[in-house]
Amino acid sequence: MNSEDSKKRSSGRIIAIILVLILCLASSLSLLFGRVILFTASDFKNVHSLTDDAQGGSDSDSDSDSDSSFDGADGENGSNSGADAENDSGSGSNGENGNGTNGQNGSGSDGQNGSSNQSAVTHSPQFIMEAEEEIFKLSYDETGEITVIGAEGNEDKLIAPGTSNIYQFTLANTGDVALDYNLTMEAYVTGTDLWLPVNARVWDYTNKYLLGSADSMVDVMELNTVNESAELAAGKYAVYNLEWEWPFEWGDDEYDTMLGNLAVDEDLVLHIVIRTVAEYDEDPDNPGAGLIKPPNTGDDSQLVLLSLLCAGSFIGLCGMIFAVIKSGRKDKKAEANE
Amino acid sequence: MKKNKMMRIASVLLVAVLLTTSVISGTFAKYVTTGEASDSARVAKFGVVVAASGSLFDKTYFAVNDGNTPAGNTADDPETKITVESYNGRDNLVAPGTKSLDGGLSIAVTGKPEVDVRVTLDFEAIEDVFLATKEALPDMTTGDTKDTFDNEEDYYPLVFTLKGEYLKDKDLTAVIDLDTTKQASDGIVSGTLAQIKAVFDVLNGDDGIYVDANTRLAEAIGTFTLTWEWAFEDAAAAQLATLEAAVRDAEEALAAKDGQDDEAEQAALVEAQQNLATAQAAVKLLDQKDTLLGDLAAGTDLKPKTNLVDGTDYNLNVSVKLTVTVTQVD
Repeated sequence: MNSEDSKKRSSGRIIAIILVLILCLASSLSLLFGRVILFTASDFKNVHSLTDDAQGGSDSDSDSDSDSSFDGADGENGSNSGADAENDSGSGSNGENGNGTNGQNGSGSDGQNGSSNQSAVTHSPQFIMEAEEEIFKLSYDETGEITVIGAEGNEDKLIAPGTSNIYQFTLANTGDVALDYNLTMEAYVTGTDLWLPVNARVWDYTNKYLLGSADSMVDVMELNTVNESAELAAGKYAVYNLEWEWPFEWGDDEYDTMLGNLAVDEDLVLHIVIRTVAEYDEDPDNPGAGLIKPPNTGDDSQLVLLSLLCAGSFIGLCGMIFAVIKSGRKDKKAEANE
Repeated sequence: MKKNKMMRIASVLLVAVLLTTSVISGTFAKYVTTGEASDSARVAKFGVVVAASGSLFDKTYFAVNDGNTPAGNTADDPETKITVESYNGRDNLVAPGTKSLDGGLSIAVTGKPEVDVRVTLDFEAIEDVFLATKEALPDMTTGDTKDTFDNEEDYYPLVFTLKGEYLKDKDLTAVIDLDTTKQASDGIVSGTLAQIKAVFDVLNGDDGIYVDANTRLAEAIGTFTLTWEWAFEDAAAAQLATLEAAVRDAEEALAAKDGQDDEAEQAALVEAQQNLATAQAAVKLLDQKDTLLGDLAAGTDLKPKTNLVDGTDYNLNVSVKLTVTVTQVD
């Protein structure tokens, strides 16, 4: 009797474990299915195939959506375009740069919607840096005449007393939800330990200055202190301006001349780096976070496998339960026969 | 047997749970995107060099075949050929017959800057030797204390020569009486110090000489060389022998006519004599002016006594300064 009781008890324990496991399996499978079925194409906006540059139906919708959101900021962008127009009238080279930039601003962003829709698929922010727009230039001109330019065949960008530039760059959130991003900058000099008399300032599209002010610029090395954290709503753009200059007259022509003469034999190079890190805003109640629930980042590429796994698990589960029951009946019959 | 089966079933279920749980975790992946943009630029090259070399004047001059030049010129026995020497060993001198070395004073501009530049040639004719126009100047060439001469125009004994490739195609007609005989061929112009300064003023224009970026300054501007000479004798003196010979020839021709139909010969003789007299007068005038300047430098009492004001009626010093500035254009 005792052996039978112990047998029954151990069997019971095993059965209990199995039941618990069955519950766990059932709940994980249901959760998995619940998330996978959310991954349908209709829930994504601005979706473009990574290899398809043609505008599809959803793409055109996404373009109009992105355009409208961009138009929302046109007041500022319009003034920026105006600044570009002034730059265009400055000189041929500037005009080319300006036109090229403007043209690429218009079509570039559209074209980059193709690549940015790659980010739409992944819901990641698009960092737009116009290929033709430069922090520094190959040549600089005043009143239509080039006054600073590298030697023929030399494609190095230059800085010199009297040179300056305003570099405008845009962060675009082409996804469906708001993003938290962090913007930092770095400036450093190679080729010499000498200080370069270059000043800079940075401001955003709300005319908030991250560095310097409207009335003054600070040493370019202060770019290393720029650390901006902000949110970017879905479909919106954040425009920043980085302006630098090497004053023509700042009080020490001899120092400038010394640098220019040193540059004959050594490359004295100023580097500027702009970095952004963006991630999803995890607060669904954040008004900047958009209008939909937190994002689904899974994909459905393994849907078939998951379905097979689910189906196979369910069939296996049923089969095991049936086998246990059948086994139990057999034992009972055997005991009854005894 | 039954327990083994159940254990196997439990193990399989456990594996299935673990598997599905791990797959679920993948659906909660969080995307973080980073972006970076960078650019760099190097300092534009300047590297402009303005180098001055040589000198104009000296304390000692040696006699050589073509004139008296400063110390340092080739001379087999310099001691015996010194012709002009400063009495105090300190002062640089000029005198009739002296001149600068061929190299004179040179300024060269070189470099190939990557910025537009403005080259300014600042020539200061600080002072020049001269004897102003004046009548009844004491003639110190004769022993007669009453002899005088008239200086009918300002006399600048030093003739400066400026040489530079840059001068060849420049319009210097605005500089009055500048000798431009060799300008187009050799880039050489000659004149007084004031005229040389006027040349530089024309070259500078209102704002200097603009040179585009990446232009070799050695080709665009090049080198300027300044030399000078105080002629021992002028052209008239060099012709005296010829003119005297012409007079002799005319006299002989007239004599040969022996008073018969000799009007032409007479006219020719008169003309030859007039030419000779003119040349002799010019030579004498030059000597009178040079001698007066020398006596003024020595502090000799002028006879007849004449009150001449230093700086107004005459100047005994010469000083020049040439500054070349290359400035980046904004």
